Amino acid sequence: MSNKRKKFDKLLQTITYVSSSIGVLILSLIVIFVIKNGVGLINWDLVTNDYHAQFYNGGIEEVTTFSNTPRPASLDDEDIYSDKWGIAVRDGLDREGKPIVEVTYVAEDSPLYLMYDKNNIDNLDFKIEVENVISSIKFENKPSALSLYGAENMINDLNAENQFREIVFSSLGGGIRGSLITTLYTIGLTLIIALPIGIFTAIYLNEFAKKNRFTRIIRSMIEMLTGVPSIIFGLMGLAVFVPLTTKYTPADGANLISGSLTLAVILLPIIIRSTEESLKVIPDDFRFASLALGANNSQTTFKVVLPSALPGILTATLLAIGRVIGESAALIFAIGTTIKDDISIFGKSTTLAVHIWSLLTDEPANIELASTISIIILIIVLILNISVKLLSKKYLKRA
Amino acid sequence: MKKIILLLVVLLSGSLVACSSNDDWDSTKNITLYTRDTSSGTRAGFMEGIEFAEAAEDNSLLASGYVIKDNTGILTSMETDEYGIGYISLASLTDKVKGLQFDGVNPTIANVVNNTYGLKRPFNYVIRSLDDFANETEKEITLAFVAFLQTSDGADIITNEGAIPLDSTSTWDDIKGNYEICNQDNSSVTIKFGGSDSIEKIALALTEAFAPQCGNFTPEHDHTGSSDGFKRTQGSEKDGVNYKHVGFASRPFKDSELGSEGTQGQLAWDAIVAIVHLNNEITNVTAEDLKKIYSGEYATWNQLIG
Repeated sequence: MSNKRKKFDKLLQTITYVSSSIGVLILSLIVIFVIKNGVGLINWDLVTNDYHAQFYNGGIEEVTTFSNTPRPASLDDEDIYSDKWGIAVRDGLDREGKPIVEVTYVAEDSPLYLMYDKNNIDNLDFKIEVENVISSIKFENKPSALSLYGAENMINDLNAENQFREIVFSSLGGGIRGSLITTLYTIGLTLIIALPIGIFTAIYLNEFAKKNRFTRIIRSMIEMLTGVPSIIFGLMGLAVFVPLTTKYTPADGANLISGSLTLAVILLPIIIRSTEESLKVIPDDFRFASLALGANNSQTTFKVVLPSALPGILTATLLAIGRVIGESAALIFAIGTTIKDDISIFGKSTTLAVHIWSLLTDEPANIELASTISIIILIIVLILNISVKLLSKKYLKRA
Repeated sequence: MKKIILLLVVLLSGSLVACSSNDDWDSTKNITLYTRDTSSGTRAGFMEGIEFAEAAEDNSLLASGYVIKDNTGILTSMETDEYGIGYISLASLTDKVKGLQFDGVNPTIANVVNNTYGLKRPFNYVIRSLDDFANETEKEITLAFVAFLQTSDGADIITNEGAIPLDSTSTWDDIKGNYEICNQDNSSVTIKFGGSDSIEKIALALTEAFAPQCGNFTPEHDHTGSSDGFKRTQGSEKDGVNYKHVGFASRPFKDSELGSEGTQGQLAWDAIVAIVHLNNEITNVTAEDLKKIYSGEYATWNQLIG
């Protein structure tokens, strides 16, 4: 081999190295970015909390006896304790990075338990609890103690008085429970619609359809659906499914059903494709054996061929779930962008992906929370991908 | 395989070095201008404040090469563009950018409250004409909300969100007897809020806190810009699909936006801050400096530093 040739080969090799590294590099940069920004907010409460904080206005009658509890040893230096009122608070940050004052301890004999709900006198369960966020304490004759000025200032203001007009406190908002539930609902609804249609189409194409030009045209049209950008499906959802669902259900405007219908259309080619692939690899011997035993064509298809194709269908389902979780463009139109806590399938809501979109279009954008949700989505997709890998491995061994 | 890993390590460390490089700030570089679009209330307030009001709605008066971004866009651009300058609302200011002093006064809430910080603008609200509500319930809740804005309880929320409320003497407790509507269950009533997106966070905080005090009505927020505040309550879109009960504007209402009697008012003041990259050497600007920068008289940073 000439020297020139060797050099050329080296060059080609290097190009392949560089190209393959770029892909890996980009993936790791994305992961690093998301983890760096989002890891601070990750905890179980984020998943279980509501997005909208529930606000309470607590009033109090004249207080005669104050708390006698000394500062508990379990509190650390950041906690600011009022032994008069028996409450400890500390400075913290909410999920938008704004400073808040959170309650870390309420003594058993705290006079704050005497507070009543100013908005609903009949609410007897009313009390201030650990993890509540105090936004302000209002007094009759002096300016309110606001969370803006910090925990220490708030406790000092409170200690100086024997009476206050009102405490405004709330739960910590910013949780993603509603969007998570919507995502699960959407996955369920979409699969209920898309799986039967997709599987039966695949069975028709592979088992019953004649191998002629017409079948080939149908197949290539279905495959073409895969290439349609999802925003166009979103447009279709807005123009067709939203009016359709508002007409026949109690919904007004975009809702979970119209979103699921739109997603089902997006998923059909994926489900048809992978189900057909798994039907194809089933050896014809199975079919012949069944027919030879006296079963007719449809008995063979539904009792012999379909069960053998189950692992393939399961793979298709997992891929479809991954697509539902990741889809945002189509859903902005078809399901709405209002972040909700009480989910109804006839109402607007957001899936996790649309929740990210809506956090990023906020003023100012909430990059941290968006990154945290991204981490959660990435973990779910990773788990799905690993399951697909394991399933298809098992499946391939059997075939 | 080994080669790929080696290459990856080299590339990664290379990009990390590139990210963390911290060269000296060079004042001979050109200034990059960032501005909001002409429908923005922040822009109107800013241009007014630097005595360059004619540029509020006319891009051709700005120096060439300006970049139009939204509030978030300007903020994130200033984190990376070492030679840029932009302006945002004080409520959005973070420590990832440098907020410049205006006429030697630091941009802090305290300085706006004591009236020493000069670059500020009003936050206004507008509601539908009183005879133009779909039903009495929606009208009564809207009027109760407007009354709540003027109380010290409303003022506390506005302060907590970083804006500066007007003086208020009464509390919600004092006046809530006048609003019978808040004693009934309103959870099936939706009140729509819109207009300025600079006011979105404040409006959200106000409705979140007020809804439980007024029968748990459902607030729906869709903030698209100051000019939509009037348009969607009393203007051309008041009966369209995007109609609103309450609109906000982060600038004074224009002559074309004067609504019917008793439907408009101010809820707060907001400060506007000129921001630059953290590496930028300057700390203070005057109205004149900013006007010269935005009109193109100063093209490079050393002209400003002098």
